[in-house]
Amino acid sequence: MKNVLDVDLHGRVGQLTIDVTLRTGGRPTVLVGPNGAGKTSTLKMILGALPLERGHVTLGPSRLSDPAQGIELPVERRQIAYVPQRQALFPHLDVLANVAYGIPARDRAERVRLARAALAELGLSGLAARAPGKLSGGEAQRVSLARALASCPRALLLDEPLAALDATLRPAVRRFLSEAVTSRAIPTIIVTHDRADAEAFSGDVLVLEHGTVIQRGTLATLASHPQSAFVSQFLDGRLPAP
Amino acid sequence: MTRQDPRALGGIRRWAWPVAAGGLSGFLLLLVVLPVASLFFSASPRELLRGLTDPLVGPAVRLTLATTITSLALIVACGTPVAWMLARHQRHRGWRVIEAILQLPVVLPPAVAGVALLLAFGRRGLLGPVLATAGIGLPFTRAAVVLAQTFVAAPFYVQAAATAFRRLDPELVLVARSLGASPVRVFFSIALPTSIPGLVGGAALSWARALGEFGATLMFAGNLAGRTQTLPLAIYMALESDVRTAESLSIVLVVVAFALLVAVRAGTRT
Repeated sequence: MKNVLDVDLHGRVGQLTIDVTLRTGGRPTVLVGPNGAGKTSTLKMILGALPLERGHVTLGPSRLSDPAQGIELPVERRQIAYVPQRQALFPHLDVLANVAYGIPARDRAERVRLARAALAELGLSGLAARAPGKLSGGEAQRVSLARALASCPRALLLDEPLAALDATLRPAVRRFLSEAVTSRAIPTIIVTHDRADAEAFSGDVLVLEHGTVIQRGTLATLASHPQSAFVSQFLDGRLPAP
Repeated sequence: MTRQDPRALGGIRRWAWPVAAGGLSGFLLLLVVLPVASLFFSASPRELLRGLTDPLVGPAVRLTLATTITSLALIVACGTPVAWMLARHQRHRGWRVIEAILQLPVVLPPAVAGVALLLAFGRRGLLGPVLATAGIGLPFTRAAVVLAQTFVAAPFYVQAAATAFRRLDPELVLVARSLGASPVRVFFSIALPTSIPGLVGGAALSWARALGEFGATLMFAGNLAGRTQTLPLAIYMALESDVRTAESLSIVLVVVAFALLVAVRAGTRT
């Protein structure tokens, strides 16, 4: 039970009704779907940034959201790290201070020490003193992930972490992300448009259309019975970049 | 009847717009430049320096600095959290009403502001009896000067600060919270430092408005030399006795205001 994120989401975001159940533990869950299908809204409901009407968000033994019982833990108490597509780094702090920001240690010196260790572990020590504005897109996404992992999260949500990058940079950053994520064994959801991401994270794929899950399974099971035109396009790698 | 050559008409049209635009903007430019320039050039530097030795000057400068710094501190202390709430809840109807109310002093004539302040805090005003039993008499005191300045100058800071806070990327706020930061920590560690240029610009604008405050101060705080007579009031007084003193003081205010304007433009550009 320890490392499982179990969610059952029902809620409305603008015109869209979200209706998603998913359970993720050992392997990452890859969330795909056309633009406006509710992928980011799903992440934000899990994160606690959007309210649920019904259902629950459960992480290990703790209930984070459960409207029926009046439970709605604020974002900052969920210990779920969130890596958005872009503009994620705090522009006024250098890389080290960015990574130290979420480290749950009272002592400042201790936070800095742990931040240095987190950067070193991911091979990013050379960037410690850099300002976010002086990083390349690939470096910024690596630092963003380092910062998320350094906060000792109990779950990780990645919202199209590679979409803003040059196609030439993607393979290296993708390998970096998948290695860092799979070695932690914390529940992870990654939103993507790219079949290569689904392969790299080798997780279960969840296809979302109009706020509901239309298909789930491994890439192989998806390939044997694609349920929609979108699924076929995704599997063929024919989706345009968002 | 001969028809006009359409190409000739096109030629006129081509010239008419630049000439009209140039002429109209030239008029506005002159209207601003001419009076300000005449402040500097209608007296010799020595006359201007002598104007500054008038006994009105010292107390007015000191009082103006003391009161405007106090009102600016008050505006920043109260206005920053308000601006943050306005930026965070811009879709909320209640906060939109509050924003409109806080903007009211911008369009209110200063004389009306003065009367309104008197009717609220004056001896026979709405809160007068309450203040009197507490032993507080506000009108015609330094506190009244500060209140009048705060009243007229606060909207400029609040608006600039709210605009700066609205420019903050909501994703940054969400990321900070997902890293365990409470809303208070997000405000102090992310919102405030990333919005500093906008806040400083707003504070400069607000300070410039407080420095020039005349009407509301005159009606609510009076024109008592050394007690409530700020620079603009001293200029008004000096004009009756010695034009040169009025001119010298005006130059002091123009230089300070211009410096603040430059600061605003530098602050908002980044």
